[in-house]
Amino acid sequence: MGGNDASLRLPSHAEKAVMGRLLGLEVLSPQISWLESEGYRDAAARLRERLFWSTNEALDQLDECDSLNDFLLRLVKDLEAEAANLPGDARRAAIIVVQEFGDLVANFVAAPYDPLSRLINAVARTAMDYYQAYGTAVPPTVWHCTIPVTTFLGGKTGLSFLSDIHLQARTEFVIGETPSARVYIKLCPRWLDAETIAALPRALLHEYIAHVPQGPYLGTRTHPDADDAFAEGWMDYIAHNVHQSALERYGPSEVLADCLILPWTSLYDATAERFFRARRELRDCDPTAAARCEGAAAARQLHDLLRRLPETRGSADDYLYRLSFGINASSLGSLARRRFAAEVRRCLLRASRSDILVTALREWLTGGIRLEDLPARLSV
Amino acid sequence: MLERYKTLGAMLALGEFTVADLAVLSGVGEPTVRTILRRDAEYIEQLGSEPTGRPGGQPVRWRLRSDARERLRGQLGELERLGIGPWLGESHSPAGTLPPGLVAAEDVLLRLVPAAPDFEERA
Repeated sequence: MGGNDASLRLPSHAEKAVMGRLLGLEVLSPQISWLESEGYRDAAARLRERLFWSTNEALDQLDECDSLNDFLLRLVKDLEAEAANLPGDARRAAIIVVQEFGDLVANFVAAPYDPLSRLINAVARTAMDYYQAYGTAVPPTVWHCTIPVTTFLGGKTGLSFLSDIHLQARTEFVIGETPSARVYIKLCPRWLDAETIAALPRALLHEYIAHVPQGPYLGTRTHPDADDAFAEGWMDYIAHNVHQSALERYGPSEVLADCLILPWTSLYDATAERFFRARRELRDCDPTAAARCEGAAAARQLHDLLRRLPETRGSADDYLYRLSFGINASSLGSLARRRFAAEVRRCLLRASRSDILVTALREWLTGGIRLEDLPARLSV
Repeated sequence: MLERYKTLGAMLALGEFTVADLAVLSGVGEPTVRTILRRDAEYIEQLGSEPTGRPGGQPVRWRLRSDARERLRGQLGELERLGIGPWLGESHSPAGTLPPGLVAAEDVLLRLVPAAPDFEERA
């Protein structure tokens, strides 16, 4: 399952900075809110700043040869020292928080793991489970030979549509006899904050639901254009629904839910909503946003139709997933998929074409036509 | 006008329906759907009652008349030319304008038709 961990490893100094923030914020992010609610705003700010300062130092020390475990244990001591300098009640509250971080680090040192690698594998497994559960055949090599590649940037970067989420993710199809891909995740250790970490599952789901299993599989796979309403809009709506289902522990896969940080559930949810909204926001400087917006609107409207039709209203999610995964992994090319999204949108906006879509859906539901033949039925 | 448009659109989509089916699909209230069915009775014919397994009145099942489908499509097309719509889910656009989503979808179709004239196109 994309499980080449070597490709996930960052250089030692970057790994320390990233791991320090991943583990540190896992505890500190919800606890800082608690400290602030208890009136210790300054104490909360000082702990966060200390975490960021120490991890930035690790990033700058390229020649430092201590191990990741040594660094994390030192980070606990840094935070303990910061807490010890706080006055009275703030000190007592901060020490509780740092103690929890110390416990997390002790557990990590006893049984090290890579939280990033674990998350990526969980997302990949979730995508595979969904495609399988909804009857969509994807060549096994697509899942097993796809490799995640994590890189880092010393400076600042962000999503093209949401600049304060400091990561980038993209998928590249590998040219070869068997279809596979590389999923590139670029992190900025110096800018890695709680919201960016919370956006990771959603951003990765977009890559593994929309792009990794994309067909057709004959010959070299063609990357969708940035203004592809189906790949970037419709399938992102699907990825968003899968993310929501993971948070609600609903659906055919619980692998991702098991990997998420439980106290972060609201943060994951809020960040995913912001991610999804930002992808669809129209901006002068981003000509591709309109296509993403239209593609997502077509999928949402079809979802709405499936919830209302007598034949599908009991299992609208199932039919939407079955149809979307099937079209994405089909032998239809990018242009046909884009036309399909536009035809669905047209049929759901023009009542004079309402029967064209519903009749085609019914034919597919009753086995009268193959899913791949459904788009052609809409272009009459 | 919009409620009639939505209800007639749902009639065209379903072909056979009860008042409840039309109300669920169109998002229009059942009393309004009944009124529209009475006024536009020329498009439909009664199929019979639908058993519910419960005591009380049984909902009537209707069918779009086979000779009325294209007339209804034409009627809906006329309403669309007046800027009525959309029929499912979205808020109404200002009178006399096309929904922006429809403009975008039809623009994509116009641009992509020359690029891939055959819908059976495979990559």
